[in-house]
Amino acid sequence: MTAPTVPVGAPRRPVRPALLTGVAFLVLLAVAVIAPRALTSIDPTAADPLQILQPPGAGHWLGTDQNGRDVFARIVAGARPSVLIGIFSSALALLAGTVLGVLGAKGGRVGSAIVTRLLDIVLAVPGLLLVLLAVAVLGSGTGPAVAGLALVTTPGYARLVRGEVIRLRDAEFVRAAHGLGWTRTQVVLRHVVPNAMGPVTVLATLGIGSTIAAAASLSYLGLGAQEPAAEWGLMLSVSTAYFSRAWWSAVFPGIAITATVLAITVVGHHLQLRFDGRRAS
Amino acid sequence: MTAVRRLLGGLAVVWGAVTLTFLALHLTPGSTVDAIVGQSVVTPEVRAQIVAEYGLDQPLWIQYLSYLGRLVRGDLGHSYGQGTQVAEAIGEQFGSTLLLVAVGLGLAFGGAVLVAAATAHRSRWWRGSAVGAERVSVAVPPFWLGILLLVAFSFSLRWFPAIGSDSPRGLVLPAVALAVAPAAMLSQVMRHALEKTLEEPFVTSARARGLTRTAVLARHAVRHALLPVVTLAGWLVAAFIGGAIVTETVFARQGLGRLTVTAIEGKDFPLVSGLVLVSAVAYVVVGIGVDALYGVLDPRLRAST
Amino acid sequence: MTPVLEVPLLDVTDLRVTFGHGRAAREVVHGVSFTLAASECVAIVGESGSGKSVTARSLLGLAGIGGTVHAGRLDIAGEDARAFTERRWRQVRGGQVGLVLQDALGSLDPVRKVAAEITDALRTHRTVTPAQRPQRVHELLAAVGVPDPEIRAQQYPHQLSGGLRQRALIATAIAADPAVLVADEPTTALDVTVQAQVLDLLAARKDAGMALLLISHDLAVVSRIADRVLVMKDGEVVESGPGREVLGDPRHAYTRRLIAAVPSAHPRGSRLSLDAAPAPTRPVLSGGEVVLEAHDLRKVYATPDGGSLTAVDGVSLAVRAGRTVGVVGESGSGKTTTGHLLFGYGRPDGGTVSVDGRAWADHSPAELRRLHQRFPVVHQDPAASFDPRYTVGRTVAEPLQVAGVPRPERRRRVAELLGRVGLDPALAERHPRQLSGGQRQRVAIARALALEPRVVLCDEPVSALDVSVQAQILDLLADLQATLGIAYVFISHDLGVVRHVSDEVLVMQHGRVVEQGDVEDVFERPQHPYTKSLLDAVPTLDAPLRAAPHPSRSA
Repeated sequence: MTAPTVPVGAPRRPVRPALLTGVAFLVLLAVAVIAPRALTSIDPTAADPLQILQPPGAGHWLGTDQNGRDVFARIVAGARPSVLIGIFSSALALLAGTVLGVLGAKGGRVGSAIVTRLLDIVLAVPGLLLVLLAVAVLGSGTGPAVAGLALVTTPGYARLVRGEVIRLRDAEFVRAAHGLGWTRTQVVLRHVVPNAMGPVTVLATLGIGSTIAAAASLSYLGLGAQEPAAEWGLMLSVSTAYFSRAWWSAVFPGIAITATVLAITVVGHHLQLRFDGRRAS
Repeated sequence: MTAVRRLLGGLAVVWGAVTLTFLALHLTPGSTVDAIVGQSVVTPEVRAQIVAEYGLDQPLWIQYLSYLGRLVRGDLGHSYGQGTQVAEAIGEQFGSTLLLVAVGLGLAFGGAVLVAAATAHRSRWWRGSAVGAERVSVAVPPFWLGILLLVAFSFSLRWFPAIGSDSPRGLVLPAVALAVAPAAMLSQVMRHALEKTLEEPFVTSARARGLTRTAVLARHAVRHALLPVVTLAGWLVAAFIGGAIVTETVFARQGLGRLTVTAIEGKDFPLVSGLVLVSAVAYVVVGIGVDALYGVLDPRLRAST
Repeated sequence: MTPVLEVPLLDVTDLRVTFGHGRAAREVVHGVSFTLAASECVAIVGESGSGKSVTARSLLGLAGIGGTVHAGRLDIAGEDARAFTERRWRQVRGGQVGLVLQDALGSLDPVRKVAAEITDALRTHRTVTPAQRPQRVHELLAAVGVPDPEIRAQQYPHQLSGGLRQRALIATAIAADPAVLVADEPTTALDVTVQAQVLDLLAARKDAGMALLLISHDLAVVSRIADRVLVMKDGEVVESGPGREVLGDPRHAYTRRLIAAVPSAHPRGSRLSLDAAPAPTRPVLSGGEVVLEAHDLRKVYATPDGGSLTAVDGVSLAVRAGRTVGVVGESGSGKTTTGHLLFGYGRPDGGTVSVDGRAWADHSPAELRRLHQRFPVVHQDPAASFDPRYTVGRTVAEPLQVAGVPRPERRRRVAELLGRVGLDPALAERHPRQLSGGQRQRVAIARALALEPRVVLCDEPVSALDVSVQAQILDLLADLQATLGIAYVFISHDLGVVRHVSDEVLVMQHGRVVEQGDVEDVFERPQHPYTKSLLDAVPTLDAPLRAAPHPSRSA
């Protein structure tokens, strides 16, 4: 058998412009979430009947909407609800998914069967419909949206965690670690958990992106954030009617969503490559 | 043996989804009668009739059993929002959505296969642009994409009829809007699988027998590239049904998606439950079909059963 | 001897293969020349990275993605192949030159039937009419010695045994009746008896007039069948000539090193690496105390179809301090399971294993954990046994950490251990994936040495390594045994390796020990027919080279 040749020295990836752009955008987004005032001093909810549907210009970089509110200020203000919904629902799903996943892998035949069926049931109902169901039960608003989105994304995490735990349980190096004399708990804490973190982190990152997009869809359907809140999906929903007269108010919020999801995807895939590279040997 | 087990598993999933909606109905704040009636205005006689029909004065487990009993008999209840039987309301809209989903699915698959086959193992630049386009396509919110398509091709260029049209030409834009994100997802998965397959020794063997690149792709690689796609089928069902909800709203099309939004907005619980049941059944049916397809595509799985 | 023809089937002069363009261009084959005539076998021998496979594939126009081929002369059956279009190359592939790769499980499409793969070649080259194809498929399978060709043709690769798969792969390569067959490691990964059969089949094709270009890392395999041999190293031919001369009287230092590294040719205690220091003398420990003792071991597994499989059946053995017990057998013989039971991993379904006279089962979990530290394992794939996040230093330090050695002390001991296995202590900062296969195996050995091991379980530790690297690792293990008095349980499918390292040997088949005893007794005077057939099947360098055509043993 011929062994693969291994290049000595770490292969250095060239600097990737897409990755840099993505990271830069996420930094900007973080500023918008934490300190929106740093980016604009205009009040996002201040309506001005004399300034409705103004095109982009010096006073209003991205124009104004049908109520005369500054589109740029509203996009900056809209970052917070979008990103927080994404982060909170992903965190909730990650937590629930980890518990279910570990239960599915370590809970014996009965535990595994119950978890698998439970996940199947949640997966059987299309995500958006399930979120809508949560909204129908809990009423519309941010809280129900977070709960619904978390419910929908939980099975993905649970399956991944379950797969990772099983993969690592059977991995040669985990068996070797048992042989080195660690106790069961020590092996889990030192080898299983840290190695499972990589793929889970990647999924959580990508999950934040898709959750932000889903939350925007919800607002567009009128079941998420409500006027006069500055929220990207809601802004698009309202401004569609004025598209022919004021394209800017229906285009820039869309670009904001797309760019956010895209930046998260690019960074997430980069993380994935790094973890995969570490795993391949 | 396995077919029976698969069928029982499917039934369990449908039963679970039904139970989920039953629980949701009873977890809703306020009285259950209000939840069933939704935002419709009904007479006290009708309310009394609902209490009798649903057995709302009975213990919860009896309500649950009679609910299951009615479902087994095919009775999905009465939609007070629509003023018809739930089954009827769904039946009326089913065809329109099925058509939209079928065309969208066709577009997504066709597009993904073409893009993946044309870009797998090609120049960095060519492949890189495809990956970039795919990432953007996945990131664009589908409803916004629908709006942009409408503005560009319907209002400005006037190539396609505007919203609310039931003509075949009116199907083009909604189907495209529905297909873009899943197509981009699929082509990423397919290209990855194709590239892995083209590096397999059996591809070298096949080429060493004198096969052309096209023959290698058609006889060997495509089948392997379809394997991971098949496992995505469940995800696809969800993506398309969820997508239909948004797309039908954007394009003001008739269909189950619109019906869902109306039902949720009107808090029309019997209708919502019916819709959940329909999508759960769709998921299960596709799952069983996919399992069968998997065996056809990969003989190694057939052998183990 | 070799029939001489006017026009050789392959005539190659100064073949060069380059990957990449411009500044990134890298030449991996630097001017290979040879000719190949009908009924002749030329073998290219080399270790990984020698460029032998790329050379072979460029003869089919398949050098690889980004590969460019230049040659002073590249004639296939008298035609200049340098001017071939892709279309013409497709006629050559399978039609004039057939290719057989190693590992038929990967080289036959797993989702297609055997018949479909063979029919591909028949269809492409229009060898027979469509109606005749099924018949021809059966004839071809019969010709390569596949029994029940009608049944086998309708099966998938995974339903065939390794040997039948390799035969089927050869059938796909010769389907359109090419005059030349290029076989790239055709017997690697096959059990030794199956390997012998496949070599006989190739020899029979050669005797029937086919020209054979054999690519192999295994000198012994080559010596069995090749008329002429080219030895390649780093893309260059360092030596070439008639097989008998090159292997019997090597001129080049690299060839000599390769031959010296083959363990079967050298008795126990001798060095395999020519440039190594002389071996330390091993203290005579013939009557060493018994450390591990197994009595009548049995292990039964449940199979998925509800049946049961007896993986280990009635194995008894004793491991003495400072000695090596070799366990040899083909795949599925139960040798690895035996090793695991012996080292207290998994409970036997019958029999006992005791450490210093006390059964594994009688120890408390805490005692077991401490005990296991002194009975470490070295695997075939060391990288898989390391946490992928760990550096070399952290990997080697881990057993010390378990034992509670303080951090500064650990650092010092890691450097010492790395030095002991012949690695630069500076490598501690690296990740194992940045090391070569041989270096990784040294890291695994260093980790095994961390806590004064008494017996080390070596499970195919050199099977994935090139022969010269294998030689260094085997020498290292021998040195450590001599200086530290460690005992080994050495599991391998390679009889040559086992013979070289062992004091005592167990030959296993279907979970049972068919023969057991002193290594020289078993190998020189085998009693059991299975041992005899295994030893017969091993291609050895000291066996006389093929003078007359070999009668084909199996068909």
